[in-house]
Amino acid sequence: MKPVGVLRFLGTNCDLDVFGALESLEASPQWLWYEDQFNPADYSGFVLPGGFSYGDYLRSGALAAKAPVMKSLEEANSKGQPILGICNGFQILCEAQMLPGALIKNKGLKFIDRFVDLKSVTQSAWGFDQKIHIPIAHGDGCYFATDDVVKSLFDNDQVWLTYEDNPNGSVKDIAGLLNKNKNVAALMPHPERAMNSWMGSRDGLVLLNQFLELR
Amino acid sequence: MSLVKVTLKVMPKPEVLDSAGRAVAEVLKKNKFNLQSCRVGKSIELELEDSPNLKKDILKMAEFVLYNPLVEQIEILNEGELS
Repeated sequence: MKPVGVLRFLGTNCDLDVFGALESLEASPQWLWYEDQFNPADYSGFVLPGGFSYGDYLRSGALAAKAPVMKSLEEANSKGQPILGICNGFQILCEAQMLPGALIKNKGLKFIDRFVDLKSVTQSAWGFDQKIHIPIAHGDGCYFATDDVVKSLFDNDQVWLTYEDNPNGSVKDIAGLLNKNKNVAALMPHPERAMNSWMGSRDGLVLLNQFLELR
Repeated sequence: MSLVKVTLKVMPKPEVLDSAGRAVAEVLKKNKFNLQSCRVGKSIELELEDSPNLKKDILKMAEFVLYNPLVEQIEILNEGELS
């Protein structure tokens, strides 16, 4: 199996955790630097880790979405290769218009760092039966989209995950999304922070394995 | 008393490193846009009752919390419309 590309922007800070998690799942991760372009055919999938790329200037993810590496990622997207965005990665994918909507300031205005319970909504291959328990850590995690976009998300089976107890005001409790084509998935919670029982949960494995199985 | 809308522009002082402006400028240049520089500030809209001391009151608010004169400068954008 070809390696999984892990994108690094200026200010990405969950990169090593994601890299380690992928290594532990024998997914042979490989770094992709924000200034570089790559040949999508050399990789089996891509992960955009969390962090605060470009200091969240203008809007979270706005500047990273215009980095050179994203041109190649768009090519990979058009070829239908699996792409997973985590936290800031979700924000970047929205700003790059690979996913609809935007992530704005949490409703309570506070940065929230705690475990949440999630369930999967989609009937696609990204779906699963069990409830999962993994951490969030974000200030701009409130998913926003216009009513007609939200309706189309449900009509097109694009809602991947919802919060059991909405922490941030996201419309329809949305915690994770898919694109129409179902090759791009992103979520605000951090699966790479729930890989071992000593981390408080191993449920992140469910999500990362789901991604890896789609390669 | 009628309500007036006041728009304030807060910008980093020219001599202060504007990290947001610099990051935005770099991204624009790397995407082949032509520009010399970019500064990022913020605009603040206040809605308040008109009064003879309006401008003075606004500047008081500005000095109280809206900007830091050490590193920022402020401008009332619609000053001409105010009494």
